[in-house]
Amino acid sequence: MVSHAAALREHWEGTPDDWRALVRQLHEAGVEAGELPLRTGAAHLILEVDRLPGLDDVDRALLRYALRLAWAPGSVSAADLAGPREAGLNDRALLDIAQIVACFSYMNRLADGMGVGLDPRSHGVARDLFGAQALADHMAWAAGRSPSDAPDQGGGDGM
Amino acid sequence: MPWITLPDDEATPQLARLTRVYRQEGRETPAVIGVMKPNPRALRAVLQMNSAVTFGGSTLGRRREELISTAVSAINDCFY
Repeated sequence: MVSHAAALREHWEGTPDDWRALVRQLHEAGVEAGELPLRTGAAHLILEVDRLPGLDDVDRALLRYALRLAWAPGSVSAADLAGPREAGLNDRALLDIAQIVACFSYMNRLADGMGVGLDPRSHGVARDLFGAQALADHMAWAAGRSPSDAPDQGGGDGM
Repeated sequence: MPWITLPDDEATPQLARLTRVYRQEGRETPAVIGVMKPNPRALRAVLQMNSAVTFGGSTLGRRREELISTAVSAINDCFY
């Protein structure tokens, strides 16, 4: 998420505050959806798209389809393509969306399954979006430690 | 850093060739790419897939490519 958020920032045309809010809201919507039954969670994500800042109608239409495909692929039907089509996207663009969802779901599984830690060049973006503690917890996970094993900056009782 | 042992970027001529683009840009091989070094064929195939599907390979433009990628990664709860 953070490495893509960093890339999105380079191509973002809105304000930095909208970019930050967009990424945080997407992350929070995913956490909320995870507490719901699968199809209800997908519906929640799709409703959340209307609340995301800095997007136009085409962005929202393609995100509704992309999020359903990523979250609950078994719930996708031909009707889900109607919104992106009405927004003006052609068949090639629809294929592009499905391939990007598939491609980055693959990269996500690879990163999570192999303990891939965020590249140093993206650490600043991670701290900006989610804070130093979230980054430290992630890097501890990648190093094979539990978050509580992360080095303590403040000293403490020693060994 | 990942949970498996990886060869160096220049351990074989094939790996050196596959990771050269990053050295030329003066940066390290992205960790999620580098983790595939034990299977150079897969690494090469994924790089080709990524460039055909995104990084300008789609008809959507870089902004919308990264919008979709960020959204998918965020709801997949993948920090990377």
